[in-house]
Amino acid sequence: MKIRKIGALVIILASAYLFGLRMNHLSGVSPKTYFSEGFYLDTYVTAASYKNETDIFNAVSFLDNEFQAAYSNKANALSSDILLDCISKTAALNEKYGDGINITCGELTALWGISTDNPRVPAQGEILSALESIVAPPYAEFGENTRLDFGAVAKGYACDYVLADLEKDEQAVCVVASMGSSALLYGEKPDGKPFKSAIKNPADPEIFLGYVYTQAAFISTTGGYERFFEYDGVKYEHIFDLNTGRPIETDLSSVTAVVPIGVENGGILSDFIATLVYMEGVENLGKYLDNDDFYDDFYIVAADINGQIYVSAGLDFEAFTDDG
Amino acid sequence: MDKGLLSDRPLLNRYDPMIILLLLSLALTALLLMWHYGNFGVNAEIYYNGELIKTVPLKTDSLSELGEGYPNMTYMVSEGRIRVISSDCRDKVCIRSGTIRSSYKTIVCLPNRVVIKVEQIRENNDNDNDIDVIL
Repeated sequence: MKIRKIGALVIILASAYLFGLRMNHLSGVSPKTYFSEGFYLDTYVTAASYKNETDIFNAVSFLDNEFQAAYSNKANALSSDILLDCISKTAALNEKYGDGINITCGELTALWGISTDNPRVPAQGEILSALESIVAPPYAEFGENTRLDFGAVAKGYACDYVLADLEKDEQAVCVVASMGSSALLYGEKPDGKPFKSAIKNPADPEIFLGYVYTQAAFISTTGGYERFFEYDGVKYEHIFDLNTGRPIETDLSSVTAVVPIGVENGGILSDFIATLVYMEGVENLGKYLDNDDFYDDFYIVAADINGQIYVSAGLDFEAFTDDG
Repeated sequence: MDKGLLSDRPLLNRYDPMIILLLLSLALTALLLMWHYGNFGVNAEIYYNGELIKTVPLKTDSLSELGEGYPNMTYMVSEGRIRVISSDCRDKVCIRSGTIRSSYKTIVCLPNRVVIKVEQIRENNDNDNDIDVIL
């Protein structure tokens, strides 16, 4: 009788264990993983934290308000310590990498309206007028018609800002903060594995270009395959050549920049570099791919319009294959 | 005298087979319910402004709109995948996002504040289920 009772107890416990496993399988969410999301910085922001619940949205919503205030009135940018810091860091990147990216091109982007309800191809006179409103780095002062556009750096800067918060938070163990085209991979994953970032395939949304495996890092991707409009059979994308005032013509379709945590201002660097390399095309790719003394702060994965993939030496990249 | 393992009593008493049958039928019913209502948990969830507005089983092909009071968007379920096929948004990124079938990927319509995601399930045979971020 005693053996039967023990047997029954074993069966009940085993069933409960298996049922628990099954339910965990169904929900798929580990009890030690926390997920939060929201619309900020003109994108869909998500945060997954492991072991302890970690909030990034105080920081992100604060930044979002600051950027919005600057877009509505550029004078607000000059009275915001945060935006002055962002402007100063962008100017420092301009000094090192050139003037291809400029945060005072808002008049030009507004003129084309590519991310608005009414995108259009402006007249050449309008374009020239918008180009005149752009101020050269270091953005010491703005012109009367200058309009700000932090699109090339805001998400990367936000990653830096969130990192500074996490580093002060003893509860923050491992956090994946995604800001659309930029992400912060913070800490160490509980399973000890590297972070796995999938890069969208510009030619086919059903498959990826490949996967980047890293330790803690910032990662940003730029491409013209999602935000664009078509008029008279011509595709106009949202990244502009500030020499012509027209959407950039590049033979790259996607550029991803990876910056290890520890590199100063690595978030804004990853965002800035991904866009810059994309704009400069295959011809200039070599100097960014090579990890020489000048360019050793970041790694690149780039795809050209023919599907050729280029990867910096030292970066763990796995190209997508049909068998997954 | 304690006969222990050498007891000559039958291993099961007359009620035990009934109890075993009852437990087995309960387990089977639970399994069938889970299969029917969730295709083992594979549902798409549609959120508007952060609020869950629809749960869509992916095991049944369908074509639907978000409905009155929500953005004018049409989604299609086919072969266990969901996609947006029309939207009144300005940039159509949601349409260009293609299909999703698992939790690692979401469809986001920024202008309409709509997010479509698939309930998370661990599938050991899927190389993509351990993705941390997509960019």
